[in-house]
Amino acid sequence: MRREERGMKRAALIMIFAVCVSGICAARAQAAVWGWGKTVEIEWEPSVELQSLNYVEAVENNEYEDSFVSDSWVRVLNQFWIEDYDLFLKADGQLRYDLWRGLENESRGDASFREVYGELRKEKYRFSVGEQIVTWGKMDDITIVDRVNPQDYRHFILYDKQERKIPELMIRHEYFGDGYGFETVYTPYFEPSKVDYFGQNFAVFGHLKEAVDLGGYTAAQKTVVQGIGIADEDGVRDNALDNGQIAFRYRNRVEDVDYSLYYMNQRNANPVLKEATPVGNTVKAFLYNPNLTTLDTLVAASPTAEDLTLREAHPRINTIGADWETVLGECGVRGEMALMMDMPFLNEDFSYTEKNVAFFGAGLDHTFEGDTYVDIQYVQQYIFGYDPLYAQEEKPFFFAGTLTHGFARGKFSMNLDWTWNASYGDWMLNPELVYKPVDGLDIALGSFVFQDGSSSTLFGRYNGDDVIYVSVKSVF
Amino acid sequence: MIKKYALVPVLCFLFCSLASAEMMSGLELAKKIYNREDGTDRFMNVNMVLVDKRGNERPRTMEIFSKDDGVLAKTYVEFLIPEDIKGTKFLSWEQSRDDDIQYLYLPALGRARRIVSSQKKLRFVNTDYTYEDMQRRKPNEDKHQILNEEDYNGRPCYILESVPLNENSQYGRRVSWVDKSSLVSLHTDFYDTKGRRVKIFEVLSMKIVQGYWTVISSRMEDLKEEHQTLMTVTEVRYDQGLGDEKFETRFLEQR
Repeated sequence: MRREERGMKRAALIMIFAVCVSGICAARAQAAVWGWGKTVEIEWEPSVELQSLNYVEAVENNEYEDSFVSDSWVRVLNQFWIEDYDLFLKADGQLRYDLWRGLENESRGDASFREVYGELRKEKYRFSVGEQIVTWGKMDDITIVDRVNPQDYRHFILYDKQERKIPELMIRHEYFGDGYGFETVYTPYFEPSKVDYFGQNFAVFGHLKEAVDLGGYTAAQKTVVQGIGIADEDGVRDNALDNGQIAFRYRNRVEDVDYSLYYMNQRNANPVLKEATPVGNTVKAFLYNPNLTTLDTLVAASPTAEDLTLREAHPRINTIGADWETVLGECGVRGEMALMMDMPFLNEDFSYTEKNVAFFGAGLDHTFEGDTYVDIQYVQQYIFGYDPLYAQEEKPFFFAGTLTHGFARGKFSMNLDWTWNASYGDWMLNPELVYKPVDGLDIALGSFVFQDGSSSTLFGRYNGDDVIYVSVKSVF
Repeated sequence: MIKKYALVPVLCFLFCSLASAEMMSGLELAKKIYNREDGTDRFMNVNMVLVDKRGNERPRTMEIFSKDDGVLAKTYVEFLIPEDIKGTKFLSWEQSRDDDIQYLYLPALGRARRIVSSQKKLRFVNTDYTYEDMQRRKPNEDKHQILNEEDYNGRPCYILESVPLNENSQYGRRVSWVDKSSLVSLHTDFYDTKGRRVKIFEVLSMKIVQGYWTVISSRMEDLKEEHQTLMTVTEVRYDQGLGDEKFETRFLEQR
């Protein structure tokens, strides 16, 4: 039985347990457990989180698209504190379901753990083991040094970074010195980011297979396209210790500046497609630039099953990084930087390659009187030893930001998130109106607009896939 | 120990002891209020209710820890209720010379974020207290004058006017009724720079706990928005020997 399948069954059982138990106990509880000849006080704080994200495509581009998507979950959060042993336990599970498509395809349902771990809390250190989420770095919704957990991109960026993070099994230790701290995170197994390649609106290659299969193409063309597959690189998901990853953080403060230094040795969580044979590059040429010319070239190459099977590459990357944060006048300022060695890319001919890359990011935020908040961030990337790469310039940069305005003491807020990839010309806007009728309930109406740039750019790829959404979130 | 910091707003005047029947200047009175004894550390569990002009109520519960070591005065606030803001934490280090250092931890962000302490006019979590109200003004930042003496709710009070000496305040002046025996400010009118009364703070009840005068319930009203914040202290403890780790950013980020 695969690790994932085992995890599903285990999580389902835990979920049933957690839902039942939390249902019984709706408020904080203190339990007394007798054992080892004495009474142990356990403080228990359960809570439940419900969320439903429902979105429609603003424009229907083809008949294969899902015109309506609903992603909903119930999350049961349990925290236990056993003071006598300085022990903190967290056991969160979630039942996630794509309500509409789930009726047609049971695989859209997903019962899983969220965070489940135990933590020993001492004055000078913390030590924890289990499925955890780590948050490093200082910038908002940008991943330069915040790289410990993989992310779930199946709904692209419709969820923010914290929500996209996938908890991972890890051993974590943090030592607290006088004003400084040193943290070590060891992840024994590798878990990649979740990405759909085909058959979903935000899949990397969208509905390409359906379009060819149901379109006016020849049998040979259809056979070749249907034969295209994506497979794991050998052994990368095995529960083997040589897939282990380690990350360190040292943090301190100089004058008025908080800073951290990082070293990470990890597999790259986001996959880059690697060819098994040279013909695999022709497959990628078609996938990334689907037209009759690239399709005919692929068919003419008479690809074998091996040629048509691309591998998800997750090369091991060494990262040296830093972040900092302070205030300047009435603005908060912060930044991150990193040097990453052997990051994966595609050459212009779509063959796989690795390069060293430097990232530098800086951000500034300010809150105006009247509850208006502005945040602007800039990120510059530099690729060492640059040769022409597919969809990747040598020194690309982008800007991202947030503008929020609250009304009626937080009952309403208008938010605008945006990103402009200045080097490629594509951009994204995410306007949103949030209403909080009562404490614990958020109702949001918003949109994601992806515009400009070529089809090889991050947002240009989804040009025409703008969505309008309603999101409901309740915590109790 | 001499207190250099008070934790919750305007309640800066709260825990005062010491009193003097002698004639004194406004500055002397302000210094006595500022330098009152209130223990080395303190803990409070506070229920807060935000009431809008229609009478709708939004309850909040928070824990407040504070401590001063003569160099730094530190405050830690954690929200417990309601569930959607539970886990929101605020840490402030008040420095005697420089601007305060403040951090805010939002569970959704997953990390402590440095915030700007000099943005005094901003409201603290949608209450009627601003960040300036959260900080204690040093006596030499204002020009103080005792305007009169009169009873307030049956208690003899000084009426103290405090006018900022520079533009580092959102207020044009504050007028406080300061209880002579406890030096607690029982009522304060806040005026904007155009001379309009914009907010009222009043103590609804107070008592002595472990030898320190403590405001048990209070009300802050925003006259323009017809909105008020009611605060009730449900638990208070002084001199518990709080450790420093409570006031570090790592504690803020502890889940």
